[in-house]
Amino acid sequence: MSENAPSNPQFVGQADARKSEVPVTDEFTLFPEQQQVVDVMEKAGAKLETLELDGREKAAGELKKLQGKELVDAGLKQMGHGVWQSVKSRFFWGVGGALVGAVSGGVYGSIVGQSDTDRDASLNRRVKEYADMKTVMTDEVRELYRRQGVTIDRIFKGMDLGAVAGSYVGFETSGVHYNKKIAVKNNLPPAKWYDWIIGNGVFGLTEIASNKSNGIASSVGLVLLQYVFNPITVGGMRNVATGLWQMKKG
Amino acid sequence: MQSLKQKIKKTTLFSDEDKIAILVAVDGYSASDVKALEKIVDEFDQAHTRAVTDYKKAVYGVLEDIVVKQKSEDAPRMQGATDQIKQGIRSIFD
Repeated sequence: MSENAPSNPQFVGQADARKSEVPVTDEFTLFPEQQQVVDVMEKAGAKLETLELDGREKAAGELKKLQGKELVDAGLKQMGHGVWQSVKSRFFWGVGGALVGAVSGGVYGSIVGQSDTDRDASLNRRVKEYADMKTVMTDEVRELYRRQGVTIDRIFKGMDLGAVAGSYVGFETSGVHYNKKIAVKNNLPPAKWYDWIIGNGVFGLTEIASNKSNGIASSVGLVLLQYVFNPITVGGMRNVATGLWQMKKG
Repeated sequence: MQSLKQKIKKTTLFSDEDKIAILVAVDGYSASDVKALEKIVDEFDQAHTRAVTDYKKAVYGVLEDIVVKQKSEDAPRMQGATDQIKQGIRSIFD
């Protein structure tokens, strides 16, 4: 092991024999500034979501009165679209908080620091914890998945597949020897940790959307892919999550 | 008509598929439907813009407050962090 692991995100894969001087925090504990931002994002996000839905509902009613079939269809879809906007909004606001919580505690490091044997079981547990903790999987989303015949377990299996696949395709932060304490000690954001979480989540949904996941209905995964994990949203979320992580002191 | 078409292209009210269908058909709409559609899109876009502006105001306000309250040695890091967050929010909504 290197005794001079540089504090540079390019070398996050190297283990270090030195003991950590920074206390390892509970993985879901946010620093005060992070909590402030997450709280306002969730509160303001809920308002935005409500206003968005109200606007869509009103437009839907008006569109249905017009003559063009495509307008009527668009109006009919608005409430369905509105539901997905609601899902997207809640996912987004929830993800903002959940991702910060995960990163500030080093969930990523605690997962990939384990052996391959332990990792799958641990990953399922971790993902479920973080998904249940915040509004990532709201009751509405669960219900929508249930209607589509997709159980939550299969979703997590998809995310698990994503994590394993991520390590094989060489996501930058998937080094299995990465040490949680090293990241905390050196104040390193795991390089592109959010790519791992988001990317593997996307891959998991892709698995659900494909025939590989036991033929489960693909529409849910596809809609989430379209509305939640589009490149602009993911890119923007990366910046938000990075900024939130950087607020962490230590 | 051109102004309506531009608005349809830019609005977040419709999906891309719906936009295509509407843009193809809009030249055949009656004058009253064209006028009504433009009003619907305008009203939604205004409501959406107001909602997003309120959201940004709330979040940016907290971010700026956090920076102001930092000790001098932490201020640059926090400014960088908050700038990153703002950039992310802009890229999602703008």
